[in-house]
Amino acid sequence: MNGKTLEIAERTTNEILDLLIDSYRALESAVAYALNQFEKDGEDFEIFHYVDTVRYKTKIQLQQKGYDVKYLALNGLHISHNGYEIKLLKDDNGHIPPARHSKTRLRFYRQIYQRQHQQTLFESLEQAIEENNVSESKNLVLLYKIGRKGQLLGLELFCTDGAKSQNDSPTAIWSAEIPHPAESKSQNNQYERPIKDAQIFDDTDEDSEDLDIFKDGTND
Amino acid sequence: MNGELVKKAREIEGMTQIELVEAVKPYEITQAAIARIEQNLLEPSEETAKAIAAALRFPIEYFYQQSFVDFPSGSTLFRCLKGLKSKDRSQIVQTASVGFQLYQTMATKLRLKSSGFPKISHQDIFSAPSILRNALGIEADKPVKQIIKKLENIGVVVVSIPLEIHEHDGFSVWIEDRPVIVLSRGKSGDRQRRTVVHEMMHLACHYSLAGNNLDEIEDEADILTNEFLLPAEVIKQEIISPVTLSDLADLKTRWGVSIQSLVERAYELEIITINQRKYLYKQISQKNWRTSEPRYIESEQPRAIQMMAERLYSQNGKVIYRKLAEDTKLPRRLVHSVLSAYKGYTGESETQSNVFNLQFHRSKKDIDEDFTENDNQDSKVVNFRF
Repeated sequence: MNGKTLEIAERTTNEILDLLIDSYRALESAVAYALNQFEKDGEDFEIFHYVDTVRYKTKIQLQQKGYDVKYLALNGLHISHNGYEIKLLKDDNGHIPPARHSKTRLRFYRQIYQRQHQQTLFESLEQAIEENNVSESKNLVLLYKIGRKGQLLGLELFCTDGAKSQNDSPTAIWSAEIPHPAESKSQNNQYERPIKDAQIFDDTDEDSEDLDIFKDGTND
Repeated sequence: MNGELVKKAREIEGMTQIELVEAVKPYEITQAAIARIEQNLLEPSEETAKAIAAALRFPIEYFYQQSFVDFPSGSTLFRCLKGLKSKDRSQIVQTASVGFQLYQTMATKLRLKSSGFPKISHQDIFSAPSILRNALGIEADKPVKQIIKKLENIGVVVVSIPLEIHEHDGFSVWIEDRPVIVLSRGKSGDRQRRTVVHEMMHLACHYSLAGNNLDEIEDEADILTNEFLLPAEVIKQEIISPVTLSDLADLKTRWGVSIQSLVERAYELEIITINQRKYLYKQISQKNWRTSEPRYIESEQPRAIQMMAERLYSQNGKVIYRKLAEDTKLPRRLVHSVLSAYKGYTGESETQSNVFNLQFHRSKKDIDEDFTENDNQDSKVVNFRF
């Protein structure tokens, strides 16, 4: 990643940081809910049921937080936020799922929505960005990665740059691992610095008083 | 020369008798002679006494005084130290006794309030969390904040020893009518709070150990600690299924306890099942939070002993630690080392730090074995700093 791309990646993640944190929290909760359901019903883990439950629960939670969220035709969610179009997808063996028969998704991966006119002048979008002729891409993929038994392994944000074919996972101009919400450093995150004991809750007046251990002065 | 104090100083320095013999080699003292000196069976010459004092880096006057009230060496004390090697255990106990000596020396010159710390009878043991919350002025449904300050205010002596030991968090003893809690340094605030409350439970409920099973006592203290820190009635309303690490991280900040303690409490209160507990631990391991959790909480500094020094040894608003060292006949570096962990300490170490490397071997707790694959047994190098 060159300097310009890195700058764009940082700016983009900062601009949607609230969504990234809320999505992580929603997915964490949805995954826990889905796994609990299997246990509660005494059923074995089943991926299709699991994915549907996770998608449904995540959508509900994000909508409750006021995000513009829609179901995607096959899988995943589509979120419009701060001028970005974001597809929230489950990973395909650690990679972004190929577009396969979906031309819409292929166009999305290729960033064609916003800037098809500019892109025709360049061999790739990355080249366009390097030459400062195109501002940052607005189509993003937020990939949630799961383990064999459905455990949430993490989230990664991708700015895609098309794919060789519809059956290939798209390549990325840049990507960023999303830190767990407990570790994230958003502007609203009051826990970025170490927490002093006296700050763990509000009544800081207590801290100003010294100990009361003496009777009435020294004997000497 | 007081042989008990030779032994004490040697143990504080973490030296064996053989190492002391090596340190005073030019004087050709044998290990047998050192042993006899420590047992007060042999009075060394003035020259030898000076050599021993120099090797131990203690003022010679220290060894020509009466012994102090010492920590009882009963099972209460060694309960928390049983996993350690004898030499390391001695170093911890003797260093802690230096902290208590500082307290005791100053206490004789000050009028201190008597301890209001409760002793709870066995029949009331499960009321201990509420009795102690009441004694410390903590509301029944509120998080526990500034626990050390609250304990010091009701007369508990908190000694912070200048040793960073991974395997050791703290221990507690009653010395005459004073409850004493000894804490190792270098722990996070949540871990320190848990240790302090655990030791507080021992002081309040296990002051008499006659006929008790030590493992049962530990389990009992853990149960009472959980209820004191995370009262069931409130926690059942605050930990809501499905439980996520994000939620627990928020609760860690609110309640000042570790995420792992919250997982355990949720399991104990049947808010989560054993599989959900296992899932959360897998997530914790995957994120490398086992030993380094996010939302780090700073530890609390004790205050009382430094405050006593301020009362007795202040000149122009600055504590003259040299005078305290002279009164106690302790090395100045040791006085500084002990007091440097206290809130309000203003001195600077007058000697270069002396680092001892000690090797500890420990077995991981059951919980680790359940959920971690690669670390059944490990050893860690621990730096002892003076």
